[in-house]
Amino acid sequence: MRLPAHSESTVPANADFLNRPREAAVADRAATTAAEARPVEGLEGGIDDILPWLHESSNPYWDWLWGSPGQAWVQLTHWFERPNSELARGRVRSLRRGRRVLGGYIAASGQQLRSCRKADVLALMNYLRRTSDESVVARMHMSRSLFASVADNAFYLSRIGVASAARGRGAGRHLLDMFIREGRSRGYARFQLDVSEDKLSAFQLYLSAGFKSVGTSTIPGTSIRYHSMVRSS
Amino acid sequence: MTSLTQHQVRTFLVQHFSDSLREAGIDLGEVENDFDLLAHGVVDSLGIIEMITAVENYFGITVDFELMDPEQLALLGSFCLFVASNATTRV
Repeated sequence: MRLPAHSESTVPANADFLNRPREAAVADRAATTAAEARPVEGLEGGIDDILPWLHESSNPYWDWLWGSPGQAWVQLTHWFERPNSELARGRVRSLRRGRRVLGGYIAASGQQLRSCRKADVLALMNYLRRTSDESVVARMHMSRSLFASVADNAFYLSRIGVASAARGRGAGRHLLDMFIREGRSRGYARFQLDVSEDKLSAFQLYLSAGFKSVGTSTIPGTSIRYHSMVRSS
Repeated sequence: MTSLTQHQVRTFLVQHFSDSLREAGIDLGEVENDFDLLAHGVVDSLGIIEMITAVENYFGITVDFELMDPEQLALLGSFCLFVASNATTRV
């Protein structure tokens, strides 16, 4: 099942969540202001609006996996453009105010996730053939047990993020509620996600929404540590 | 192309994953061609890459996966048929 590319909603203006460094927020706010001057339509607008938060929500794992933020960004762009990828553009559910994308999420059932990961591992295999980059495989070995498996009866929050200029106004909570509502409407009563331990605000948001940490895993020799979180009903 | 057959690849893989298959309660002589290695937890994402590497090393072949349908990647029979049909001998 393919999710709609975008869904529109409004955002309550009374909540606080997901703080980030001031300088990054200022830079992103300037970029967003520029983006507001033009309609967000088509390929370019979609990438500009989605990839920044998608990249951030994929970290710290994603940058570590690919060896550098630059290579991670290139790969994220490729995965975003592949229709059958876990991170495909068509799987993004967005939250907008008018034309402005405030953030979004990517979710999938366990079965969907398995299907996506077949496509992603095949793409990865072909990438490895072209580049002979064995370091990625070595890092996959190191992080093999980092993320818990997702059962077919679970609805998994693969990515969630808010544009930095939109933070502090409840967009994250709104997106999380969207995710739960979507899962329920599709018949799921078990919700699952992974969150990096360094994203304390996000972790607290999930706790406040009824998620419980059911385990943690660390990549050996690194400070990268993720909580597996589950919510039932 | 090589003279490699689907049956040869299948025999190797069933033996290669014999411990995991037994743990999953699968009779090694009764593994169906539509058995999904990923869905049954015999392999994970990295395990698929390892499976491909193991097959290529064992038979001394290289397989071009560019044209493979991802949905066939973890199905035992489909994977073995694709390998047998697209293998080239290493030089």
